[in-house]
Amino acid sequence: MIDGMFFHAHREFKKKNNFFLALYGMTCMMLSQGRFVKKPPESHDVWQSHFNHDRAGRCEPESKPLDPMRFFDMPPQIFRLVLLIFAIVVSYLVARTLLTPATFRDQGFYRGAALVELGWAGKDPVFAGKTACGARHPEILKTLAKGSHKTLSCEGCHGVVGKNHLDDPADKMRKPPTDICLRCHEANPSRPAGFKQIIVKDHYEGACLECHLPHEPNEAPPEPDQPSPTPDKAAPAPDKASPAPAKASSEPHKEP
Amino acid sequence: MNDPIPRRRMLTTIGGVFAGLLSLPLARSIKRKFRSTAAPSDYDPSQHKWLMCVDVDKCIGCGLCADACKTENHVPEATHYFRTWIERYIIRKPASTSDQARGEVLVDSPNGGRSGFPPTRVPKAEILKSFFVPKLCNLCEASPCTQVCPVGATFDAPDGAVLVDPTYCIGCGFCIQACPYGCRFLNPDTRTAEKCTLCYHRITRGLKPACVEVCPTQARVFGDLKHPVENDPLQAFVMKNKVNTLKPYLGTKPRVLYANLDKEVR
Repeated sequence: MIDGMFFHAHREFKKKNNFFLALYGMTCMMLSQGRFVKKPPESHDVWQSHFNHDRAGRCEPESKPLDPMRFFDMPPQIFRLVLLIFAIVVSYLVARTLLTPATFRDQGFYRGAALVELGWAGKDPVFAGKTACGARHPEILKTLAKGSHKTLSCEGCHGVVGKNHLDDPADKMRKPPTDICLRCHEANPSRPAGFKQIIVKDHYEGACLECHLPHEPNEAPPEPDQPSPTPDKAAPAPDKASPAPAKASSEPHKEP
Repeated sequence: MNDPIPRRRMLTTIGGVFAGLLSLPLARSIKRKFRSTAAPSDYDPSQHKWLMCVDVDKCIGCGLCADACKTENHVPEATHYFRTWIERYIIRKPASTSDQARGEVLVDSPNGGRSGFPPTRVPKAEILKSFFVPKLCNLCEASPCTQVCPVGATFDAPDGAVLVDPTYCIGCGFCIQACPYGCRFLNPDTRTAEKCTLCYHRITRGLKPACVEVCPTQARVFGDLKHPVENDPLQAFVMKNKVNTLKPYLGTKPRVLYANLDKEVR
């Protein structure tokens, strides 16, 4: 394992830059005590005496050449340098271990726990969704699904279903603003050509709900003499309205 | 230094430190194992691949999506912070003397299209063509924003979303500069980068993103490529339409598909 680590470090240093490579090479040579360097052919006994004598010059004829203590049998200034490098590397590794979040690199170069925090353990959804509305108001959704407003979301017009309404059904949802129909159906040259649009002043200046049922835009509007502001009996408030039920798209002056 | 005992003691100390160092990663991996089993496992990001597609011809520019996104994600109210927005393209008729097929292209997005689009000042007679284009994060496969993040705060989640870890972001703004689609901004309150997360807190709970939820015309189509449902809208979208992506020449490999996209849309 340690071998592998050193090999890895060696490769990394080689990749990084030559300065570190030189430094690392020097360190290796110091540590190896010339063991990997070829001996000079004609020995003046310099090497032999180097191996056989300690730094103080005492002769140890019986000492084995692979004594681990020999690693540190080097000039003190070099030994300090080696220690310094070792301390730097160790402090870097310790700092990295302590500062890196626990789940970092779990899945990639990011904190794996962020997936949980941003996801299912994160903030609560604001919009409840059409399915949640359908649990309590299935009849309205059934009506809605018949007409061309079937793709509309409840919360698009009625606003966000707050905690208040979910916890206490008596706490009614807001009524959609009266001009919400125009948000989609006002004539605009940028809108797709097939989409039903009106020019308000050419169409009718009154309230859309006098003629149109927002939950069932394809149905015929109620009788003109008894306009019902809340056409759907079960609905607390009308959904997004369509001012143009069938034929009256942008026809001017369609009297109610 | 000549005394052998301190040297030996020092060697032991160094060896001890080294051994301790080696045990740290081991301790960490044990801790990680403990954590990952403790985490709720009802949602596995590697088992999903989310995608949003946009049909330009269906967008009516009502702006409900941009509005819902701000509400859902608590995006700052100011008019230049958006995770998703709508652009209006107006292509003028060419001048009578010009030999071009189409005239000048005007693009605007008042308040991100959030409160609808006011009538344009271009007279109707001068408009050759006009349409709305909803914009959002393009979920690039080779996302430049992820590549430039110096701390690993922005990342490509295994389920296809590109997310920002708000506790790790240092707010340097590199990603905002790097995104060629302008999909990011620096939140002035948290001072971290923010972007469309595909409503990650919703989709991991089985809900649709807020913009898809409120879109009245189904111009936005959202689905899971790994779990196609019956009559999957996403599969139908890909089958029916001839699709394109935004700025494909940049090599960012955007995943968001646009149908009926005009060449002027960037």
